[in-house]
Amino acid sequence: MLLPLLSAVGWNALSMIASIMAKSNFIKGLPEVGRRILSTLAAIFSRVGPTDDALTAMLEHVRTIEEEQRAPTEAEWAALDARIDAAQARIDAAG
Amino acid sequence: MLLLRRLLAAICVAAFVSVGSGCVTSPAKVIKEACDPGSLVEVCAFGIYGTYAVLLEQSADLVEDPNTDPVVVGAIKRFTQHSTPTMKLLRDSALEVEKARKAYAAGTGTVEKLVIVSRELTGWIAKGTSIVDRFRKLIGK
Repeated sequence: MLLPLLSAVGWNALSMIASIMAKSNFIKGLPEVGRRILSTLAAIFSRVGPTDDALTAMLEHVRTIEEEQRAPTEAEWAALDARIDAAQARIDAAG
Repeated sequence: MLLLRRLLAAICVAAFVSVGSGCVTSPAKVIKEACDPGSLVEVCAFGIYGTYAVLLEQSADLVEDPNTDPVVVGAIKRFTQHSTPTMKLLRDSALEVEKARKAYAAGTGTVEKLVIVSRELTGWIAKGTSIVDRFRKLIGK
C-alpha cells in the first residue's frame, strides 16, 4: 500500500522537476541535445504516472469482480467500450 | 554544466529506482490477476480488454503530442486500426459465454453450447493477450 503511493509520489515529483527544468531559463545555455533530453524526460514522467494509475484502477476493478465471484456486467463492458471508442477516435483524428 | 549533468543523472537514477521497485502496475500484472486459474474466463477477457483500453488511452495521448515522432504516430495508427476490431471480437465472444452460462443456469441452454463458446473465447483470449503484449512493446510500456 505504502510502496505504490511512494512510487506515485516519486513519479509526480520527477515529472514536476523535469518539466520545470525543461522550461526554465536555467538550461537556456544548454546545447539542443540537452534540451531535447529534458523535454523527453518530462514527457515520459508525466505520462507514466497517470497510466500506472489507470492500470492500478483496472487491477482493482478486476479484483473486485473476482471477490464478488461474478462475471463482468454489461454495464462494465459498455464502460470499457466507451473508453476504447473514444481513444480510438482520438488516434484516428490525430496526425 | 557539471551541476546540470548531476541533476540529470539524479533524475535518471530516481526514475529507474522508481520503476525497478516493482510497485508499478504493469499490463502483464493485470492480465495475470484476471486470468488466474480460479477466475471465470469472462473475467480474464475483461482484464485483457480493460488493459487494452488503458494502453489505447495512453497511445491517444502520445499521438496528440506534437513532440511525438510522426513515425511512432503512424505505427500506433496502423496497429490500432487492426487491433481494436480484434479486441471487440474478444468482447463479443465473452458476452456470448456469459449469455450461454445464464441460459444453462436457467435451464434454457445446453452445456455443449457453453463449452463451445468458452473454447472460442479461449482462442480470442490468446489473440488478445498477444495484442496487448505487442502494443505494450510498441509504446514502450
